[in-house]
Amino acid sequence: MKTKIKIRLDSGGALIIAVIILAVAAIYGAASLLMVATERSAVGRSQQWNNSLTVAEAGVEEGLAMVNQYAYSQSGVSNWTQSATQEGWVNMTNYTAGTDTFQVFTVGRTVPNDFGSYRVYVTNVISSAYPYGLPVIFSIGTATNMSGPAVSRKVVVQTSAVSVSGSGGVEAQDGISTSGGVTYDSWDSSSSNHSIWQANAIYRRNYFNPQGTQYGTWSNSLSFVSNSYPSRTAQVYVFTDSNMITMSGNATIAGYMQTGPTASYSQSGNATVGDLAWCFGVNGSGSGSSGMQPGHYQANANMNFHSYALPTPTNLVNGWMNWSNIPAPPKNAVIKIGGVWWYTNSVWTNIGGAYYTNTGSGFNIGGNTYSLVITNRLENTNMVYYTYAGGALSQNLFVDAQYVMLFLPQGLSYSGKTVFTLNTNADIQIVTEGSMSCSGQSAVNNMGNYTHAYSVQDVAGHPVSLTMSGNSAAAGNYYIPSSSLSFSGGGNSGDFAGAVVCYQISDSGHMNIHFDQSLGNTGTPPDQFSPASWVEIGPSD
Amino acid sequence: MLNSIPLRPRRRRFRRGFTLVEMMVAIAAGTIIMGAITWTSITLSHSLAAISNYYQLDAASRDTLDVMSRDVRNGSTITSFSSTNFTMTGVNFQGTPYAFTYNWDGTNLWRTFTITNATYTYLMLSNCNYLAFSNFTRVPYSNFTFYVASGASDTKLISVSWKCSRSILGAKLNTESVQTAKIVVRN
Repeated sequence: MKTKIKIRLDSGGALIIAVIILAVAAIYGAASLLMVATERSAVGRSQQWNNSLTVAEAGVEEGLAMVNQYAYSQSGVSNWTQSATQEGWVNMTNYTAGTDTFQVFTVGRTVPNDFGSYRVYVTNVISSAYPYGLPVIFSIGTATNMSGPAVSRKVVVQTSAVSVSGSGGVEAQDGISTSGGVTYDSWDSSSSNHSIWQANAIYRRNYFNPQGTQYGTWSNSLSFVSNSYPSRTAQVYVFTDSNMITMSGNATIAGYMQTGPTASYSQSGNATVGDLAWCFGVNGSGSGSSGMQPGHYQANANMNFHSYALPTPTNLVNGWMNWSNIPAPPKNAVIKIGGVWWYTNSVWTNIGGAYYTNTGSGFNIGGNTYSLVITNRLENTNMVYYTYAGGALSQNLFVDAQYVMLFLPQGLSYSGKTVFTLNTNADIQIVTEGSMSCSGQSAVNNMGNYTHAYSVQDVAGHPVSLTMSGNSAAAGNYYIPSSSLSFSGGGNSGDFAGAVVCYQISDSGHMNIHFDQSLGNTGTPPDQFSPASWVEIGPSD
Repeated sequence: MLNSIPLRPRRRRFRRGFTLVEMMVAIAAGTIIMGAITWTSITLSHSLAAISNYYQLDAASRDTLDVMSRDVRNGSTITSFSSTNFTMTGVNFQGTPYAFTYNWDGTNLWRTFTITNATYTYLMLSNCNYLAFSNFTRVPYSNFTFYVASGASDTKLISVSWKCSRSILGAKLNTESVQTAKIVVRN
């Protein structure tokens, strides 16, 4: 029996239609999937491109953290090379190019979660122009967290040396009050056009040299517009982080005013802020304009400073590991003042100077009698550490030595005609845990008027007050972020040259403040390395 | 005599035509199916075109934002600024100074790059319906917000947002691409 299978030729239309519909749907689906895949690839590539920069930035941050491991410390931020090989950093090699020397350190890291990796190089270029070295950071970031080929980006960061203690001029944490005829302006002791150069003056065994790294000194003639313009500059920055800057009377700031995000300022009377022409007229003499010159005020400024811990004596040359009392030579003792030690042909020689004898009440030097003296010492290339344990220092003190650090646990209290004299070619760093006051006709005389030679520093956890009047301010660098500072008096033309960092400052009378711009440049040991330029370079660079 | 056996009459097969009702039902069903197919095709085509447009706009926006952020980060000084354009100067890795400008003319965003006396102009975005630049300092005060800059010289952060779109059959559907970013000047 045969079974006939009948094929109905008129069937199958639905299948064909279904196939066509499915084909069309498949084409649409494939196109959609292709576009999604393309978009995914594009998005992934873009994310990879952006992530690679983030990774490179991580390398820059590690480089900055490494070179700033000693920032704001007594040991000095420039000593980072001594411990740079910690935490995986490798000293590749040392290079010399002309008079410049290079050290190159590198480290590579893998960012967790398959995010990517970076390799960062840090070079330290030490030259005559930058004796403390300015690190250059080169970071290569590679992102691998998305599908597709890895993407790398390269960033070069050139750092600059920042010295907060002298970077701006007058900086306070919590307010500045100026009144009377107070004037703030600036000058530059590293420029022969803005300071008085003394060819025979010496700072730490180096002559002042217009071509070198040494500096000139302050003279109050620089503050007189008539014979110093344009030697006088208008580059002082007066800053407070909180509270306000109050200017009244004829208070003048020849420079700029800056306030933190929560701070403000007020001006009344003839108070003025601006450039020299704005403050003192077109010729730099006479009367100018009052108020705030456009462009000379910056709100929302950001600055950070804090007090240091008390330094630890580390003068291993002498075996001194403690603070020594200020010498008080006995009657008939003879000292030499004004001589300078030079080390020539392996022999130390003290050149120049004059001899003085203790007559019983002390040494008569320049019309004043000094019972306490710190004289020049042979070991003048290392810090020498002194202290005064008899309460607040209130006796005449003569300092004729270099590299002196003086710790005053109870501060200083000068009145009457008490005088502290820092001889020419000498330098001292005073660290105080007690208040310091000078009143009456007492004085702190920085004979050389060299701002780098005299500095005052407070100690973390010991906020004090410093009150300076008359001629007591002289020239110097006050770094007392926890403490308040009061300048008063000054007669008709009291002058302070240098820089101030403090908690609060009150300035009245005629105590003019002249900021030395050189305190913030490379001549000063930096507190921190900060990014100066940020440049992304191409893949083949 | 043979008895004749009467043959069963051979059944004739009749091919019936569709009835009117069947035809009407079939036509109605076919119309619905074809309509659905047509509508689906048009919708899919529309969607594909919209997605394609969006992807192209998104790619252009990403490229623009990537290039702009690189430019702004590398630049050092903003010499002029308005809500529709800004100009920055900088120095490249070789120490060569350069300048660039981003300018929105109401429809297109142009990038002009000048270095060593040569000027190059690029069309970064087209069909840009909205674009606005804002300038800030880089001091934050809360929730990633920043203080408004007083002028070009005070500007350290540039905020930009734009919206580009394309039309399909004269209508703007899902083809807009919105980008917003805050870029900090690193120098």
